[in-house]
Amino acid sequence: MNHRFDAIVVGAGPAGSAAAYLLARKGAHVLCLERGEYPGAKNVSGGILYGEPFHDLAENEKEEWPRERRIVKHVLAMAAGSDSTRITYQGTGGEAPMVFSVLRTGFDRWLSTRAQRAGARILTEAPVDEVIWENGRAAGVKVRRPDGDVFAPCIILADGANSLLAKKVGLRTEYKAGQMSLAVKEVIKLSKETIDARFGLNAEEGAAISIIGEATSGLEGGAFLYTNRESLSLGLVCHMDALIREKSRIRTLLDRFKQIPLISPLIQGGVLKEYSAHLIPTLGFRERPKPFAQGILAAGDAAGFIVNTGFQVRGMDFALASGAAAAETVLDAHRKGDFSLKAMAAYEERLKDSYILKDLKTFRSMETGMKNQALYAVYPKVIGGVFADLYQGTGEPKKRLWRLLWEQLRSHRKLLDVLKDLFSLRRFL
Amino acid sequence: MNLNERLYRIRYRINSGNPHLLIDEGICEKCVEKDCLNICPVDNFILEESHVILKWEDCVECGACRIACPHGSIRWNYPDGAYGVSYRYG
Repeated sequence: MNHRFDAIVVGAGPAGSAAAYLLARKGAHVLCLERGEYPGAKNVSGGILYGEPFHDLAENEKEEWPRERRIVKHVLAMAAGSDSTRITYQGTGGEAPMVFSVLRTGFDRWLSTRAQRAGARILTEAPVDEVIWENGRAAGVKVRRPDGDVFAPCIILADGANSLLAKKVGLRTEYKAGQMSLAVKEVIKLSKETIDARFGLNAEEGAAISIIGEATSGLEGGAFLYTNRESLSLGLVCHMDALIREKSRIRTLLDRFKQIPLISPLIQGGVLKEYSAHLIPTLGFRERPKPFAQGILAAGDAAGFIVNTGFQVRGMDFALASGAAAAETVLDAHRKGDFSLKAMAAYEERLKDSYILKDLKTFRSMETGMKNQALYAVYPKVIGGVFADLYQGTGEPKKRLWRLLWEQLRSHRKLLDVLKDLFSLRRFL
Repeated sequence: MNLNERLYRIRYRINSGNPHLLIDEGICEKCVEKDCLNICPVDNFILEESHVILKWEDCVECGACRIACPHGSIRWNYPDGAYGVSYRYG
């Protein structure tokens, strides 16, 4: 095959395929390399995509892109023991937000096919081991295949959470346990009718439930239950340092989560179709890898573009948008014939102007606040306790609400710690 | 739920005799924490007579062990093309 391209994209996930699609559509000769048997083979998401995958979807594509359900009901729950307190937001019919549940194998395949139809060359079963350097800049990559050296003036690293290449080229150092979350997930088959009835949904509507507290047995992290067309996606996301500290096995926590009264009736009778595990960079704004080097741009999880607040893990929309921003930067570099570090740095500027880095910045202190273990181990109990007192018929005179809250706080937490929590909450909001 | 019930649902293509991850037994011998035993979501690391044994065939390539190991004992790479896990839902 011809070994020279205008750009090489490593990874055919949302970031890589978005980049390959845009580059190809603008006439660039682009190669997209995927280590799996097919795009999506190695990929896992909880499964909520915020927004549509592309802004330029044709009318027929709006119908056909492989989403599962349109999420109209969001439930935030705090679980303590067998109790839970929930807040539900339900969007109104016509104005329902563009939020969708997806399953990644189908979704990633569709994205990649779209890039291919636009003219991108997609090569699967092609792991990349090294970046090839010439005169201090990236000039190509080594694919683990016979005669596997391929060349381009610009390489887009979209090789996911583990991105070994980002480390090799010096965009980051090795991750520490405190910078990563481990996620496990089960896809559980249930009929469409059962899902509609259990979650109170019509037609293509979907629900997303996020749970903290008992869900992770009090560990820093969260749990989720999302509706697909004819299955549920259920999983846990736990900070790795918390799992290590408590010597907890995440699959044991998952078993426990499935037993809590909020969840067990919803999944009852379901058939397990798949168990999966994946890492989620939980880096925040400051610790994220550098997104560019000489001839290199990093996008999606490889660049740490994730917001993980326990209640919400957002990454796929950042991946799509950063892939697009990387493609624009490469197209610009080709127009000007300039692949210098300065030309690559324009990518960072694009990211700063887009919602990607703005959101990462907005949520940075929230992520720090979410590292407070009390949010998971203590406050779900406090809030549950207040409601339990409020609603229980005890034959005793009722206390005022603030008094109930005060007593619950004092029985679960030291006053000084409560003040500290309040102080961190100030930044949190 | 039994781990095997979960593993049966995962599609793998095993690259026999060509593991994509290795441990340094010398380092593991002296390790006190043994965090790999608990962090792996598919129990790839097991303790046999106080030795850590790696059975990599069920690996789902999440990468957690590499980051959890406090002594850098785990050499972790991607399997060859098309080998390893292939999710059907994701």
